[in-house]
Amino acid sequence: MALNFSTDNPKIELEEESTRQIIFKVEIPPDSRARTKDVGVTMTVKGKILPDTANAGNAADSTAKLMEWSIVPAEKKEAYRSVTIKVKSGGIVTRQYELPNAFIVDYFETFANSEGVGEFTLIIKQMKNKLADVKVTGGFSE
Amino acid sequence: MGFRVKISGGKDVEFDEGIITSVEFVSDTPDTSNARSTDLGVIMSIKGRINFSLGAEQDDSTVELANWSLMPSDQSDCYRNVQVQVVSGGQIVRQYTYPNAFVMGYTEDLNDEEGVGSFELLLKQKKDLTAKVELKGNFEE
Repeated sequence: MALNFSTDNPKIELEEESTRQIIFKVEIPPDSRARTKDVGVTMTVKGKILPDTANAGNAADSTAKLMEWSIVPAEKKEAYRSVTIKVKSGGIVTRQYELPNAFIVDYFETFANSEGVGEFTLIIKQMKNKLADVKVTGGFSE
Repeated sequence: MGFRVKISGGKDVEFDEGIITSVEFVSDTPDTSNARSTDLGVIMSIKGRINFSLGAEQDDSTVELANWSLMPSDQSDCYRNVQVQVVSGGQIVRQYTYPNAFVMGYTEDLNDEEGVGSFELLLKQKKDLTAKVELKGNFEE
């Protein structure tokens, strides 16, 4: 299974070897008595931060661009990006998630001296008033 | 994977690969927000060992962390400049610089089972100055 993460404006394309896990979550307030309009779509992406030991000074992966995105202030238009996440296995796209107005809720980078690579966790949400634009498709060939 | 931490603006201290065991960078906005929030906080968690030097030849710089954490907010040096580097194979994988960091929490754990103690320092950049945080990555030492 290969996971492919990309955004536009500015473009970020994560390498497949750095993405490890994708979680797609839809939720409404847990205290709701009936179906509400307050629906939230959250996506969590977890992966590795790879150092390139063979070629020092060159980026081994694009995770530094996620780090830069995570501190873009809300006033700037780059805070919202169109995100496409593809899950591929055996030549088939099992799932394709498209969040055209995604923003970062939280971003974590963790490093430990017991491990050779770092880890990142990215939590993004679709802007709530544009929820209808979220697209989930799947089961088509590449 | 090694870590180097430099803290300046009060009593300057430096920690190298022998002291620091893990670092975590967190960019945090409220989880319940409907759109990108201006309430952006940038947090850093640093964990390490409380090493002692034989014969007390070198100062234990971790004491300064404890002193910093006790500092009242009316003193100017409760905000300090913190730089954290993540180094691997001759490459600086990440360099985080927080020019106005303050202590949110500090814990020291010492017990009779381990030879050295450990500490955990939780820092945040002063929130109105979040834009001054400098994040870099992937350059040669």
